[in-house]
Amino acid sequence: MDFEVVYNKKSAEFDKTKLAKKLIAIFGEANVSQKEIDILSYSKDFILLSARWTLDGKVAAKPDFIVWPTSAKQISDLLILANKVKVPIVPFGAGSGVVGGALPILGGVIVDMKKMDKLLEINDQNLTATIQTGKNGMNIERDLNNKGYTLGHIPQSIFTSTLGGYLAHKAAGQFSTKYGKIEDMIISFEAVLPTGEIIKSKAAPRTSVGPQVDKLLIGSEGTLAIITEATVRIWPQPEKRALVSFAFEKMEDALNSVREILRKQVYPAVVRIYDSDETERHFGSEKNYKDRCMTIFVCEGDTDVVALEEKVTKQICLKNFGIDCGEAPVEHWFETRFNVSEISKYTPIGVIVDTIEVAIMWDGAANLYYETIKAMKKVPGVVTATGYVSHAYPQGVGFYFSFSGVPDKQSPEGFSKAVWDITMESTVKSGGSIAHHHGVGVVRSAWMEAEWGSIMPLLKKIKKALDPKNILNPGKLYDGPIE
Amino acid sequence: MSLIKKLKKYGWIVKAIAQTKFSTKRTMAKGLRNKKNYFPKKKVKADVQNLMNCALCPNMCRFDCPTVQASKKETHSPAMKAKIGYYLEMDYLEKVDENIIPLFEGCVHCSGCKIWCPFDFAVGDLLDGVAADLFEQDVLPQPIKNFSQRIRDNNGLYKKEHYISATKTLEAFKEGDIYYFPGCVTMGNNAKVIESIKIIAEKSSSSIIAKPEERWCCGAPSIYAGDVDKAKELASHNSEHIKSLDIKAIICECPECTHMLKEQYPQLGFDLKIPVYHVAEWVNILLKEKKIALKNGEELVDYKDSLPISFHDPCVLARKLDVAEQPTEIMKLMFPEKFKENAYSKENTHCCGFGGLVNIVNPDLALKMAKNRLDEFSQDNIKTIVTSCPTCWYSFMKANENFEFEIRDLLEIIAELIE
Ligand SMILES: Cc1cc2nc3c(=O)[nH]c(=O)nc-3n(C[C@H](O)[C@H](O)[C@H](O)COP(=O)(O)OP(=O)(O)OC[C@H]3O[C@@H](n4cnc5c(N)ncnc54)[C@H](O)[C@@H]3O)c2cc1C
Ligand code: SF4
Ligand code: SF4
Repeated sequence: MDFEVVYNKKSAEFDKTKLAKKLIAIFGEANVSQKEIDILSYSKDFILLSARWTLDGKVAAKPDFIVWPTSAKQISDLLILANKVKVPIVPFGAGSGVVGGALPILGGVIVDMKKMDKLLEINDQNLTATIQTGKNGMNIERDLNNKGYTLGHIPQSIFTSTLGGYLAHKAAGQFSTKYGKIEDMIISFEAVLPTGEIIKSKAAPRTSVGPQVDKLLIGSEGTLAIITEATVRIWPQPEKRALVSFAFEKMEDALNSVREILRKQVYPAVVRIYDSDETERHFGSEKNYKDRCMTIFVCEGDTDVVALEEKVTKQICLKNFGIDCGEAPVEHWFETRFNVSEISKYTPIGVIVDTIEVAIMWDGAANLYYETIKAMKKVPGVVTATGYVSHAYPQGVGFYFSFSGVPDKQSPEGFSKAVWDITMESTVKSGGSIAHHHGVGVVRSAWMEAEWGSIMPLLKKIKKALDPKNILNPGKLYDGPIE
Repeated sequence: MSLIKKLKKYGWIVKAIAQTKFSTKRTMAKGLRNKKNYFPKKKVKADVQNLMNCALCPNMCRFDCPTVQASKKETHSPAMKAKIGYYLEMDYLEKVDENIIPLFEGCVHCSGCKIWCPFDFAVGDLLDGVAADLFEQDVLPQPIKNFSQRIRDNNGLYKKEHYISATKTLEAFKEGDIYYFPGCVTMGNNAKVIESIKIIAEKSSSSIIAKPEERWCCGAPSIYAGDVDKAKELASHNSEHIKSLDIKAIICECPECTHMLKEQYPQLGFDLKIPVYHVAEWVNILLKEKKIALKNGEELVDYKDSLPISFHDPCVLARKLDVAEQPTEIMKLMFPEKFKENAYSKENTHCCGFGGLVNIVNPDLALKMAKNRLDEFSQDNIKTIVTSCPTCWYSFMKANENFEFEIRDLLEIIAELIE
């Protein structure tokens, strides 16, 4: 069967036979594939509509080749070649991105980074680890744990994503209020620019030497560089963990509690506020939680610090009318936090499920939450629209919205786009940022102008300067809507 | 889950559905009805519902899947294998070697995925059904067809001549109330293990009977090759001769055989109704019953250069049979100070690379997995790796050319250190 290709605009033609020979010269025969079955396997990431496409016999976007580099030099040679031949190059980690970032929407060569997956060094004195970016997140964490450390970057996708993907999408883990997001963890890195230069930044605790141009590449979603190696900060494994949970009648009370806790410079590693539907979905309908907003905290680190953080957290929650629910809900969260089964369960019965995360300062947080849920529910066919705070900062929060529904008289794509659009609109109107940690990819491309406003031309200029022939992950971020 | 519990769990969704417009409810009902379109029209052996569930999963177990960790190819990632299996069942993919081989070279049937899977799947088990359908349709790649034919021809993995030395050793097991079912790989490659069983039996005054001329392959390799009829024939033959004996228990040194006789035979319709033990369980029982005692190997000069020592848990033993504690307990008795448990041990063990039929279709990938596993031991400066599976032993012996480990079978060491 010929699979229908959803994003099927091919770039300029290139001679595949010639290119195959050149790729083999760079990577060796075993590290180049144009087998149909491999092409099919790399025609996807985890953009959520792709589950629908899988069952309907469609593929998201097809590459022409897949290569598996083992060194930065090979990647450099590839990019020099790509500039000559004008073939798109798309870096690929584990394809867990949910926005289509790794989809080869114009065809070309997928660069699967997974063979570059060594933990190169742990420096105990500096508390850093240097790791190749194709390494799987859980395997990083396990290797570090085996030696008594943690990176503290635990996204829900940790089992199925890579360090390169985190850096490219500016990912955020569940324990981020204490350990920070990936951009807080990165100290220095090695990357290959679109024109083939290999660059390496210096490891330093901080510098004052002009603009931090290297950090420009973090979050560039494989459009400005292929990151090959990174030195990240690590921590000794925590001595103690305290589990705290409170249920609040009103979302505002939960938000206020978290805001006040962080204002006191108390940083629980995990902070999550679930709205009442999400509370029922995750924790059931016990008397204490029913129709309330469950809020969970995990304080961890040094024993004395944890005791203090636990005390302050509880005091503030009680003051804001929280009902102490003890450790059980947090234990339940620990047990179930990696159970991802909704897509498998609902897609075959025609239900579309997706998630959209956005960020907002405290003064707009409650308003954004209510307005967005209201707006999502207005889209014909939406069955559930729920939200929770997945990340919290002294200045604001990240909201994680989920929706499910069936396309009423629309295509699945049309239905999904309608909910995305209304959520993006509502976020922009509330003064929020359109993405907290999943990135732009294809699904948010149309909203880049609205997000960046006067800065957008600068972004475009940077792309043009670094990648004059538009080789690296073309079609993404800078070029408006992707149909 | 009881209906009341289910309703409670999904109460908020039910409420949300109730609040939707009639047209939305109608579309939802249509979706439910249309689900059947995602299943093959004809009756198949594969569990298509669960293949579909797995195919739609974001690969939540991939980090612990030894094949994708060795090949680094998305094509070998657990969810992709399920997707390929699903597409083959749906006739979306042509049944040609290129599309079928990833299912065989890409899965060692180690159940590593099961530990992390929200659905409790082992992808290997899901792929067994696909293999059975492809076998029936006679579309399997030639190396796999040759492999199942080999078992059909020999009623075992190897020709009879290959078993001569083992058969001779097994003649010692003439009478007894414990039946020893030797595995093909042991008989063909490592008859020393059989000698060790003899020593342990003598020291513990256990009376063992074996029937090397009558036993056939347990059938596990035929299942992997999709040849369910042959597996049934082997199971039927074995169960017939076993049932004719007056025995109270069966022991196997091969975890695959143990699993087959204990768990799979009943499913194939041949419940032996006799307890089946892996030898590590048997030795553990003998120790508990004080029928044998073991010396401290660290005090013996023979072991001076062999320490520290570690144990590789065979995946079938630790995960499918849940015999995870016993080998470590035995090892700790023999090497109280110098036994170092591997970071990936017991149910978290990693496969030796030679599970399933990977070695038949892609020996290089099998060897890469074996080397990856040995690498996990080299980080602890281990000198000796002990295991309790003939296939793991065989694979490590092959991969050891890049390392300098001593590779031993648990029984050999027990036989050396038995009082
Ligand atoms: C179930 C599930 C849960 C998730 N939970 C979280 C979460 O908690 N937090 C979170 O932040 N995200 C989460 N995500 C999203 C996703 O895991 C992240 O975006 C992750 O960072 C993607 O990593 P990857 O290795 O899979 O990258 P891919 O999907 O392969 O690629 C993502 C982007 O990065 C680029 N890229 C990949 N490697 C490199 C490299 N070395 N150099 C340059 N560019 C590169 C690609 O071109 C692409 O644009 C979740 C996803 C799923 C499916
Ligand atoms: S059974 Fe083992 S090899 Fe097969 S998919 Fe699961 S983890 Fe991978
Ligand atoms: S085995 Fe389970 S966790 Fe692994 S890919 Fe399949 S469904 Fe996901």
